[in-house]
Amino acid sequence: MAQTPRRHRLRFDPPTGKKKAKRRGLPMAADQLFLNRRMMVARSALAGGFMVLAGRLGYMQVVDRDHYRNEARSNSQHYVTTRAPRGMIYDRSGRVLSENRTAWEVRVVPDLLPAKGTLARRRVMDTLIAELELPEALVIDHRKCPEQSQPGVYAQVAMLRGRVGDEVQRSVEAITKLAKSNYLVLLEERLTIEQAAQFREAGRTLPGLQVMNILDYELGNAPGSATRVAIKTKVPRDTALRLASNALYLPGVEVDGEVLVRDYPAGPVMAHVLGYVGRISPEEYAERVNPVGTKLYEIEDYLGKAGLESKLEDLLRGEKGGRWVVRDVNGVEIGLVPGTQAIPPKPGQDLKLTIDLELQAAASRALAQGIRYSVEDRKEIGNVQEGETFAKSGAVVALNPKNGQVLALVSYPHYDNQLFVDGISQAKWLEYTDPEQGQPYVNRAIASAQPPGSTLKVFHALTGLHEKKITPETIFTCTGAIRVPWDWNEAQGDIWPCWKKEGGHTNMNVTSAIKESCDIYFYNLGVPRDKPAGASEYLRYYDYNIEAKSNGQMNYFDGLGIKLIHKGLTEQFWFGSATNLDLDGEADGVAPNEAWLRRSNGEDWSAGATINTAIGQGYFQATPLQLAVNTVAIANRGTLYRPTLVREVIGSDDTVAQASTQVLRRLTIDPAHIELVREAMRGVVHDDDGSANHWFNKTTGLNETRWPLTNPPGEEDTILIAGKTGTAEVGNRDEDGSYANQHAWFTCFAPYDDPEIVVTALVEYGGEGSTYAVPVVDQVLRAYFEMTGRRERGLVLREDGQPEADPAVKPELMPVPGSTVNPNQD
Amino acid sequence: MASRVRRATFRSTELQLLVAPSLLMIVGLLTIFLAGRGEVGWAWSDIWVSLVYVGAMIGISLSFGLVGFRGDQVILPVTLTLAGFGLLMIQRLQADLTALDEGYAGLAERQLLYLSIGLGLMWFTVVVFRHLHLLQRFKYSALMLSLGMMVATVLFGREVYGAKLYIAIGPLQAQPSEIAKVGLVLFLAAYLEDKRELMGASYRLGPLTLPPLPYLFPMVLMWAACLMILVLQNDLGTALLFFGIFVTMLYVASGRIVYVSVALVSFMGACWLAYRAFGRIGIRVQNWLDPWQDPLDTGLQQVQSDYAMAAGGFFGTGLGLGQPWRIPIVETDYVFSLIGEELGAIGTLSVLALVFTLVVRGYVIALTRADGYARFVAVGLSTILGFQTLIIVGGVVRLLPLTGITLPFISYGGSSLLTNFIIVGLLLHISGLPAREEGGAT
Repeated sequence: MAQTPRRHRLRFDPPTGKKKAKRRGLPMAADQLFLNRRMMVARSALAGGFMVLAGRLGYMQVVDRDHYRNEARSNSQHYVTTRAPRGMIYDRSGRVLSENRTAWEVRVVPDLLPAKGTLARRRVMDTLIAELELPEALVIDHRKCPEQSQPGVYAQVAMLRGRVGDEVQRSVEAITKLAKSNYLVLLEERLTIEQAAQFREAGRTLPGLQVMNILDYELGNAPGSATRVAIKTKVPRDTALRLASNALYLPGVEVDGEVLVRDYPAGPVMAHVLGYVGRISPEEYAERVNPVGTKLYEIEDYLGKAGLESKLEDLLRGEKGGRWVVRDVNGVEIGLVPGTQAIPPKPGQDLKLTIDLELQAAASRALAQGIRYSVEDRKEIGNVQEGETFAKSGAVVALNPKNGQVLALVSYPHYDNQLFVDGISQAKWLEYTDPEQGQPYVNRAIASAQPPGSTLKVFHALTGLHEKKITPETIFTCTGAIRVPWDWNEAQGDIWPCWKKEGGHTNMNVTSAIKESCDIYFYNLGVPRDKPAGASEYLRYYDYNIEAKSNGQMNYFDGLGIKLIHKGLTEQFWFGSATNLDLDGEADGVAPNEAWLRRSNGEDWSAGATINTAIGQGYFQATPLQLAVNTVAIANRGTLYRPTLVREVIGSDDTVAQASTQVLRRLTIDPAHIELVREAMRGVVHDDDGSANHWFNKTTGLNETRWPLTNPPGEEDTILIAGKTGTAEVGNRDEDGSYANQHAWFTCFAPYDDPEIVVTALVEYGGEGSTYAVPVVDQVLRAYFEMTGRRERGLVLREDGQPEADPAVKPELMPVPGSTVNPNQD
Repeated sequence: MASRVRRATFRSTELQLLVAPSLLMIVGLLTIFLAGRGEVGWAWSDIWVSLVYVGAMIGISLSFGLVGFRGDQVILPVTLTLAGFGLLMIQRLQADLTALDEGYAGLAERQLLYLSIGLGLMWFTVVVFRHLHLLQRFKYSALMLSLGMMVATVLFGREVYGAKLYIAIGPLQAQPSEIAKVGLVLFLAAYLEDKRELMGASYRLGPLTLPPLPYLFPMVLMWAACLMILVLQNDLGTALLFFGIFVTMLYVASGRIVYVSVALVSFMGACWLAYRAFGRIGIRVQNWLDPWQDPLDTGLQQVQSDYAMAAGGFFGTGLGLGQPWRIPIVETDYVFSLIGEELGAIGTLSVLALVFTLVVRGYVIALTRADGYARFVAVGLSTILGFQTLIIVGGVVRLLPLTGITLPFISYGGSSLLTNFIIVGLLLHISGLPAREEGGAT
C-alpha cells in the first residue's frame, strides 16, 4: 500500500466490479474508480440535503405545529372581557346614592362599517341618526385651522355663541386645552335648526368651525378604527331592539343591552361628595396600569373622575371577568374556545357612607334658603353699597364630634353629576365653572378657604388661656375702638374698631368677650408686648371713641403675638393644612406667620396683621370643614378627629369592614379652660347678651329668638347649643374700618353636655353671621333632632322619613343677583 | 452503436410501478372535484383526464418495450407520479385561484397541454433520438446557445416579481434559464470528459504546486456567469442552481475538494456583496431570516406558507380542504406549501422521496454506464433535479432565502415541465446505453 499513489488511498469500488474486472482481465481505468468515490460523495451530499429538508419538514409540520397553530388561531380567537359591576354607594341608613342600571347602548366599530364614501355607509349612518335622534353638533377641527389664527377664530366662535367679556377668553382657553387631547372639540352638542344654519354659514369664513352630526364627531375622535365607539347609551329598548334585529343591514353597528350605567338617584345634593364616573381619557388609559405594567382599563371603560367615585376608584372598580371566544371571518362570535371557561367578574365593593341623605338634603335646603334670604333681606334693607356682592354660594358641614364622621357635607350651588355620566355639553361645563353662576363645580365645603371671622376667637381664647397670657379673670376695656399710634406721630394712628362701635362693650372678660364677640378684647389678646424694629416704644394703643374722635387711656399690649397664635392654631388646633378627607381638592387654608408672609408676599409682619388675625380676618383662611373639625375638639373636650366619609366597606362576599376612627391630635389644653370656652359658647346661643341669642324685629317691636326651629318658644325640652358667630369682612375697607362685604359664619355643637353633632355653616357674601348663618344652622339642627327623635318630625323633615326632593337644587333656580361684582373681593 | 439490434421486451417492473401514479391520478382528481362540489356522486367527466393520463402512461411503457428499450424501469413511474401530482395540484388550485383572478381560468388545461408535449418530448428523446454524441461534439454550440439565451433574457426579458426570468416569443413566453441549464450540463460534461485527465493533474512552478490554470479558465468563466445571473437577472435561485451543478460536476471530474472549497467560499463572498448591494436580495434575505418583520407585505408569502405547513400537520387537511389562496404565487414558488397543507408531512416527504429516488437512479445510471460523456451527463442532469428541489423546498421551509425556481414536475410552468421531461428522457436514454461491464468506450 505504501507504494500506491496518494490519491488511491481512499479508493472506493464495488467489490463485484473489482472481481469482474480481475476476472475479465481488463484493466480498469484508475480514474473510473475515483469517479465512483466522488459520485458517492456527491450523492451523499445531496442525500444530506434531502435529510435536512425532511427534518425541517418534520419539525415544521409535526413538532412545531402547535406554535404556528396558536399563532394562526390568535387571529380567530379573542379575549372578551366582562365588566365588573361597580360598587354601590349607600348613605348611612342604606339609601342608595350611586347604583348601576342596565341600559341599551349602541356602538359602532369603524372597521366594520362599509367603506367611506359608499352608499351603504351613508345608509347605515342615516339609519343611526334617524333612529337614535342624534343631533347636529358644533365642532371645531383645530387641524383645519392654522395655528396662528386659532385664538382669533376661537374668540369669534365664542362671540358667535353669545359670550361676552371674560367668557370669551375662558372659552378660548377651554377650547385650546381640549384641542390638545382631541382632534375635534365639541362646543355645542345639540343645535337647533336655526343655529345649525347660522354656524354653517359662519363656518365658511372661520376655518375649522364645522357643523356635523354627533355621530360623525364621535367617529372622527375615535382613537382607532378597530375600537368600538359608544354612540349612545340609555337608548330606549324598542329602538335598540329595532336596530339589533336589522343587524344584517347595519354592518359595524353593535347593540348591547347589558351595559351598566352609573346612576345617581340622590340627585345633585350629593354631587360634590360622590363625584361622578366618566369615560376614560387617553391619558388615563395610558397611565393606569397594574404593578406588572398591564393596562387596568379598556378604552371604552368608565372610571371615577371626581369625588368619592374617583378617590375610592380602587375599591369600587372590582375585577373584570372574561372569556376566550372564537369569531368567524366576519367577526361574529361563535362560542367559547374549547377547553376554556368564562371567568366571572368580581363586583366592586359597596360603600356605606357616614352621610345621612335626609340630613344632607335638609342642610342643602336650609343653605339655599339662607342664601335666598340673605339676598332678599339685604335688597329690602336697601342701601346697597357700591362694590357689594350678593350671596350665591355657601357650605354646610355637619360632623359627629364623637368620631369625626361626616354627617352632611353640602356645597351650594350644586351641579348635576348625572350629566357628567351621560355626557355633558360644553355649555353646561362652562356654566358649572363660571364664577358668575357661583362656580357650582367647586366643593366649597372643602375647597373654599375664607377668613372665618370671629369664629376663630374661641381658638385664640383657648391659646391665650393655655399660654397664660390671660386668665378667666383678665379684663380688657372696650370703648368701641382703639387707636394704635404711629411711631412717628403719637397723636395719629390706625383706628381698629370693635363691631360695636357705639359705646363699646365696656369691661370684658374672656367669657363675655366670646359671648358678645368683642373685638377689642381679642386685639389685646393678640398683640404682644413687643418693640418692633426701629420703634422707640413698646406696642401700645389708646382707647378711642369713633363718634367723638376722642382718645382715652393709653395701654400697652401684652398678648400672644403671632408666634404663639400660629403655634396654637397649627400645633394645638388643625388650621393651615388639609384634614385628609377622602376627597380630592381640599384646600389647606392659611395660618399665617412671619415666615409665611415673607415667603408669599415678601412683606414684613406688622402689628396690624396680628390684629387682623386675632379676629379671624386678614391673611387667615380656613375651610368650613377645617372650622368644623376644630369645633369638634372643643365639643368633645379635646380630641381632633380626622373627618371620614366612609362608614363601612362591604365586600362582594358580604364581608363588612368598619372604617376606623382616626385621631388627628389631642389638645394639651387644660380641660378647665376648654370647659370655660364651651360655657362661653353656650352663652353665645342661650344668654341674653349672646351674639346668636335673639334679634330685634322692627315690625313687631319684639325681640325674637334666633332658634325658632330647634328651640321654638314654648318647647319645654330645650336643646342646649354652644356656638360662635363669625362675620368675616372682605373686600374694600373704608376709612373707618368698615368693609363692603361679609361672609356669614356660624359654628356650633349640640347638645351641650354630650354633643352629638357639630355644624358649621358659611354663607359667602351673606352678611352678618348671626343674622344669615345662624338660621341655616338652626334648620340643620332641627333636621338632625327630628331625625334622631328629639323633635317631632314635620317641621323641617318629611314625616315619612324620605329625603325631600330639593326644590332649590336646580342651578337655574339659584338666586342670581344684580350684576354688581366686586373685582377686588377677598 | 446505432446499429444495435433492439428486440421487443415487456417492461413488467415499470408497468407494475405505474399502478401507483394511476391510482393517484384517478382517486386524486376525483377527490378534488368532489371536495370542490361537496358531493359524493361522481361522473365520468370528472376522471376522463385521469383515464387518458393512465392510458398515456401505459402506452409509453408499452411502446418502450416494443422498440426494445431496455433502460431503467424506475425512472418513468417516479417521474409520472411527480408529474401527475403536479397536475393534481394545479387542478386543485384552479378553482380557488380563479375565484381571486379570472386570469387563472384554464390553468390546469394549460398544464395538461404542457404535460402532453413534455411526455411527447420524453418519448422522442428515448425512442427516436439516437445520437447522444452529436451533443458531445457540439459542446461549444451548446454553451453558446445557453449563454445566448441567458443574455437575451437579460436584454429582452420581462420582469416578473422583480426578477427577469421570462422572454416573450410571439404569444408564448418561455423561461430560457430552464433549457439553458440542460445546455450547460451538456457542455460541462463534454468539456470535463475531454479535459479531466488534465484537470486532476497539477504542475509545479518552483516550490508551488499549481492547478492547471489554463484548463480551469472556462470554469472560472462559468463561476462568473453564475454571479452575473444573480446580479443582472436578479435571480438567486438560478444562480445557485447553476453554481451547484457546476461545482458538483467539477468535483466529480477532478476529485479536488480544493476547487470546490475555493469556488464555494468565493461564491458565498460574492453573494454577500450582492446582498449588500442590491435591495431585492436584501428583502429576500430579511424574509428568510425573519418574515415577521413585515408579515403583511414582504413577509406575507412566507408567513402564510408557515401557517399552511403547520395547518397540514402530519396527515394534512385533505385534498381540496386547505386554504392555498392565502399564499401569494402558490402555483409556482409555493406549490410545496399546498402539498404540506393538504397532504401533510406524508405528502411533502413523499415528494422529497420521489425526487430523491429519481436522483439516485440517475446516479446509478451514471455509475454503471461505460461511456464517460454519458456518465457526466447523467450526473449533471440528476444533480439539476436534486439541487432544484433542494433550493426551492429549502426556500419554502426557510432554510434558504426563497428563490423563484420551480419544483420539478409539480410547479406550474411550461418551460420547466418540458425541460424536466427532456432531462428524464435523456436519463432514460443514457440508461439504455451499454453498461460499463460490457466494454470500454463506445
